[in-house]
Amino acid sequence: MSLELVNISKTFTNARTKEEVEAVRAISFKITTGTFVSLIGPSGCGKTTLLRIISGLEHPSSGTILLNEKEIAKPDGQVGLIFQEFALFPWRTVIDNIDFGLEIKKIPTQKRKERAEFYLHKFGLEGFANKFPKELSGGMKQRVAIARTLINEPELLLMDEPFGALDSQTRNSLQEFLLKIWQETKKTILFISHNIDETVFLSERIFCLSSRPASIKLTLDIDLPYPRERTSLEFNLYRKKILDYLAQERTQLGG
Amino acid sequence: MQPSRLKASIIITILFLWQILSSLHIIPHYKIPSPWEVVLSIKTLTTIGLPQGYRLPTHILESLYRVFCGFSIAIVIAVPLGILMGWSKIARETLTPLVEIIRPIPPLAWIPIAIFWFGIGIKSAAFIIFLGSFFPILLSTVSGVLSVDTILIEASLTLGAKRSDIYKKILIPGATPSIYTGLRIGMGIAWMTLIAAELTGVKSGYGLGYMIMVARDIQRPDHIIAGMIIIGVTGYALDSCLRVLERRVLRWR
Repeated sequence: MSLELVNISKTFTNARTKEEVEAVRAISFKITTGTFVSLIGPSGCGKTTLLRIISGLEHPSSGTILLNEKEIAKPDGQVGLIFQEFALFPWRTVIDNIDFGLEIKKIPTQKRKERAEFYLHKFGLEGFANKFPKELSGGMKQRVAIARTLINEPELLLMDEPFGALDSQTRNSLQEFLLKIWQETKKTILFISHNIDETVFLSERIFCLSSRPASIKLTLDIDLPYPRERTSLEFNLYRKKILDYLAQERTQLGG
Repeated sequence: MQPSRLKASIIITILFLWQILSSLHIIPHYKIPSPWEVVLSIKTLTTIGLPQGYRLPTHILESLYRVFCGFSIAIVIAVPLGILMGWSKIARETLTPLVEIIRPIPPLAWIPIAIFWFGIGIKSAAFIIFLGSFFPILLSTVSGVLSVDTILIEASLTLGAKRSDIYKKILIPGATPSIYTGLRIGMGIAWMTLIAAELTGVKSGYGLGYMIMVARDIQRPDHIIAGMIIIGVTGYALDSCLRVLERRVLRWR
């Protein structure tokens, strides 16, 4: 599914002080079907706001979002969103978390359990079907959350620092896992991170955002074959470009 | 020592001391009977009854039945209303003043008007129980719904949930731990309220509160104490049932 943002801006009004805060300013970009794109930027720059707007959880103050050339209004399960905090339903077992979307669609129990079993297997979660989220490790929780989203077969997958709460080992293995899933399913992925290594490892294209209000300052195509070698020279040249950019952003802020 | 053994040994020690003090006549019998006299009294209450023919098991069942009626009605009304008030800010803000005015009125203060409306009997008793347990259940449900993490609602939206799905599949299960707390508090209050109601106004031939009033009229402290212990144990048993249920339903916590 292609995604196009046309002049998206978002301004919040502080309920108490009536002060206006501009979070996102005139962002436009286009992502073609099946590409892996990352957004990187200083923390608090409005990345998450942008993702929430694309997911339909928030409305832009101005501008339009086109999915396959059509405008979107409300979240409808077509656009998947993965949260840093996993956001699993703690009262549902792993399998019941995964088939939530199908339950909403009133798919017969047997059929949706079959689909969920398929994902359990694919995500290496066999044997955990009847566990509750509290019994899982962080890495497993996020795999359940991804499975729960993919079972809905969204064309576009939004990920908001999905591996930010994980230790670096788990983080690396989930990155590889995500690449595998992406290559198999050919979903369009829009990934937020402030981890430079992660974005270079995963993405075909990286948009670097300015500090608040967010706008795109730099577009970088990572022209390296998969799987990528984190220690290679080329890999690190890309890292340096982003590091330099972020350092420059900080200087402009005077920080 | 294991906690369960410790608990048992505390109770046994107290009973033992109590028996010794009674046997030595340090505690006068006409004020506090000995544990053994209480045991005998429970036997008498069970076989002969007080008043005669009105046996203990029926007193217990009658009291439980009254609690059951009032408590069920309270759940059926308070839980949905609480979810509505937790979910809709308008409902919460309009209903809160009303709730906060009625809530401080002690359930027992309703007895005169309850008798006026419903007469003496199960309806009045159930109404008083209902009032006693309604507010804790309502307030816990509201706070349970408010405590549901918004991220879970947002996650369900991105997975295609509609308003009614959020109500059924997110808010109710998310509020359940808090609802259970409300049920346990409500049950405790219901039980206390019932006994007080049976003592003061809502009398018929049966009921534990009524039974100990009869024991007072015929000046039998052993029957009074026996009745009080039965009231305590039954209340504890009710709470235990809810706790067992809670542990099962809230396995995910």
